[in-house]
Amino acid sequence: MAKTEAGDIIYINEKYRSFIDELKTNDVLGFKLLDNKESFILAVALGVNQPTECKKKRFGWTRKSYIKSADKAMWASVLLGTATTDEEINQYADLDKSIELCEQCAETGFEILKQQYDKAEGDAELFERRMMKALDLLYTQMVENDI
Amino acid sequence: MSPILIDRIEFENYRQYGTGHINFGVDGKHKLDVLIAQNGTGKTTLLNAITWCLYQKEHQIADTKSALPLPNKAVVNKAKVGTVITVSVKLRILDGDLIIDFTRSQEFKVIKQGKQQTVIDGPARFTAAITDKNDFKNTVVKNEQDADIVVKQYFDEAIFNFYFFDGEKLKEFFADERSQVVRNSVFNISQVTLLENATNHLSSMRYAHSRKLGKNAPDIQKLYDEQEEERALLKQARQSLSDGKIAQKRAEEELEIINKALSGYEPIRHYQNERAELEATVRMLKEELAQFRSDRADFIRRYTILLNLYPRLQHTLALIDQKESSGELPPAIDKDQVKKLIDNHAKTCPLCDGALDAAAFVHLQELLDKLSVSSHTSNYLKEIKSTLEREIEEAKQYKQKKEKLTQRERDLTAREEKAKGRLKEINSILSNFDSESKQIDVSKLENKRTTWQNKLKSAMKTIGAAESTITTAKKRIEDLDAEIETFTKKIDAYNETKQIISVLESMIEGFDTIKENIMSGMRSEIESTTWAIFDSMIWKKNTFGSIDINDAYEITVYSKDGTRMTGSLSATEQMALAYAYTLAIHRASGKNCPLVIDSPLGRVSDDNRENMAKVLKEISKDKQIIMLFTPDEYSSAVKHIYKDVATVRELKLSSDESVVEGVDR
Amino acid sequence: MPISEKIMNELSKLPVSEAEKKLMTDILSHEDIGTAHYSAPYEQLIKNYLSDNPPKKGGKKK
Repeated sequence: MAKTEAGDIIYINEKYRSFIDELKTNDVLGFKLLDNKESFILAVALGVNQPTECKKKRFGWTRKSYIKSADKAMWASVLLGTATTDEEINQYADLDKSIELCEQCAETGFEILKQQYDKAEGDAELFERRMMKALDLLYTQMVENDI
Repeated sequence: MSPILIDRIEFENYRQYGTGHINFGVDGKHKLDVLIAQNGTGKTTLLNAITWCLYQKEHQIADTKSALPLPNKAVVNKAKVGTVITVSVKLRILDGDLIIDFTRSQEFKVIKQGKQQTVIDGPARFTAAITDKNDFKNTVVKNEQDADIVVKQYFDEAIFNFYFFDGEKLKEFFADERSQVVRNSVFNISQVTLLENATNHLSSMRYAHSRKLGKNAPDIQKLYDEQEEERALLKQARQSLSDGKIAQKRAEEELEIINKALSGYEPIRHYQNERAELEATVRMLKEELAQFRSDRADFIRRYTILLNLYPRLQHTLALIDQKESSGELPPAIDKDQVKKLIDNHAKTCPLCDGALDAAAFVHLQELLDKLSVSSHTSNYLKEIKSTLEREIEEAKQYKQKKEKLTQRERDLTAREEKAKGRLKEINSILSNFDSESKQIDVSKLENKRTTWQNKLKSAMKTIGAAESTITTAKKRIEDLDAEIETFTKKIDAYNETKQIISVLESMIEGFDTIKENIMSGMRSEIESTTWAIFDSMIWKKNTFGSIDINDAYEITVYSKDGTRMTGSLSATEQMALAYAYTLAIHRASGKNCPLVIDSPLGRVSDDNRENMAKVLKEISKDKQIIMLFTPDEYSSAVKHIYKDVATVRELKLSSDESVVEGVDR
Repeated sequence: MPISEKIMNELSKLPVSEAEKKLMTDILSHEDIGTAHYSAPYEQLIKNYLSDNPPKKGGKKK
């Protein structure tokens, strides 16, 4: 498993850089003004159920020191949300470990985002509408059925 | 700026000037020469002599094919058949300490044609001999193309009529197709082109050195190659941006004129007003829709995150709640501390200093088993609890928030459709409007309007794309710089090459800065100088308000109330504008070149002649002006103005009309 | 031909050393003469400049 280095940097797969640049250039999904931390957590969320180790060249994307208190809950829950035993709770109450998992989730998440964008053939409006539509189903599955 | 001066012109067998010379008055307070000659004597031929010398063209001859050959007719007639006659014109220019002699010569062979003798063209030669006054022994002689380059630096042929001015040909001056030529030539004579050439040259060197650096390091080479591509993209995008802005301004100006014309026509005024309001509404809605799209994008991202992570958020909150309700949060005792005591076989209790025996350790172990979370975990969980609750709550509000967004979009879209629909109706009405007035063809103007609106849209698109490319390319170049720096730091062997590249980049940046500063200042400088001179020449002080020169170097004159009036200037006003523009270009170019004017006051009405003559006299204090008058133009009033300050010379034809008299031989 | 006053004024305002300004002036003069079709004079000018003004250690100036 690729370990997050003891340093401050959070990495993504280098191959997604040009894709993200394209989203920024065309201002798709508000990417033009979006900081890297935000795009990262979006990818984490999309790939949260399929973490994949990044075996290729990595690129420094954002920093741990940029995670504010208001963000911490979300980042922490990626790992803590899988704890089933007390031992796991104690082990998983660790932001560095959570970030390691987040990097793996983002590896998948960026791929999912890219596939969806490619399906829309670069049509930003179509891409956004499809993502919006997907949220309806997600809400029904995740929230309504849970209430 | 010290003036550049035409010191002397020498003729050899050239047309009616034959062999002789004219020295110009370069030493006085006013650098002013007046040559008076009847039409047909040789005024225009003098101008032709200058342009033939510099460009090998007699620009003032309408039809060169049917014109007389260059050699003086009397000389041809006297010569034996087979003789080679040399025709030459030499122009001496003074530029500070430099003396530059431009000499063009051509051989002509005398032949018999019927009863007449004529000539056939032979080889021509052109040189520029440059001598420093302080070092007469070392004259640099440039030939042909190199001499042409010297001419271009002073009197670029593309804008020859800004130096050698024919007052009778004002129409050509402001022709639309001239403006791009003017722009390029202004850059050339102000040496902006020189800066561009230097930059291009240094860029090629940089690339060559980077290849050297990358020879044994293909990764570096890839980075340099990518950087060159980005630089090329950046250059293209900048040009595109500049073109787009020029097109935008032009379209906006045209639309303003059209709208003004239409709104002045009473039968359609209410449509115009309604249209203006609707267009404002559409613009406002466009902004609102843009904001909506931004808000929608934020919403999609936020809920993609919240809903995908919802199970994890819920699960995390659930286990926090469970720990809290079972009293395990916060733990009464620090689990890690207890574990440490057990692992280290501590001898005494850190709290009460009591001895820790075997029973105590059993008790501690039981305690440890009861404690499920450490203090660190407890703090961690407590820190995130309230945020988790808020995020889960926010996730549950998805439907309401989405509904609000949908409603907002529906509302904006409906308003936009309504406004656009009505606009379409009005446009259709106006496009088919049958004007009663002969002065205004509404449907024609409407069609023009549509055309210019489409051009404006296209220009805005070009600008948007260019700006985007510029931002991306600049960022990429910076990123690549950083990557290259990382790589090259490790390669000591390439130090010298790296240093050279660094110097090259610094100079390129420097030249680019100089060029941009000169270019941006130049247009506005030309504009304000043109206005100042024009205003001083014109007697009407309440009519003209301003002059505008756009990035394409097209001139527009405005009245005091902002109406465009370039097309309705009188001949005198056109003359004044042409002079003003010419003088402004000279000033802005950084080179104070002389002006040779044929018929300087020919088209100027009597009451303005004196005024204009005085202005030209004033200008001649700092700039050489050579004027070719007819006796009629050189009225007594004008004579009075120039008599004490100008070198005056009269030219007339000899009795057999073979040669111009008044030239020094 | 002499480099225009405008260019010389702008050059004097650049935030670079006097030695580099002199180098840039020399480059422009050469460009003006028309030796642009080969780079040897430029290379020599730059090498002379570097040997008289060795760069300080500490990475690229930006």
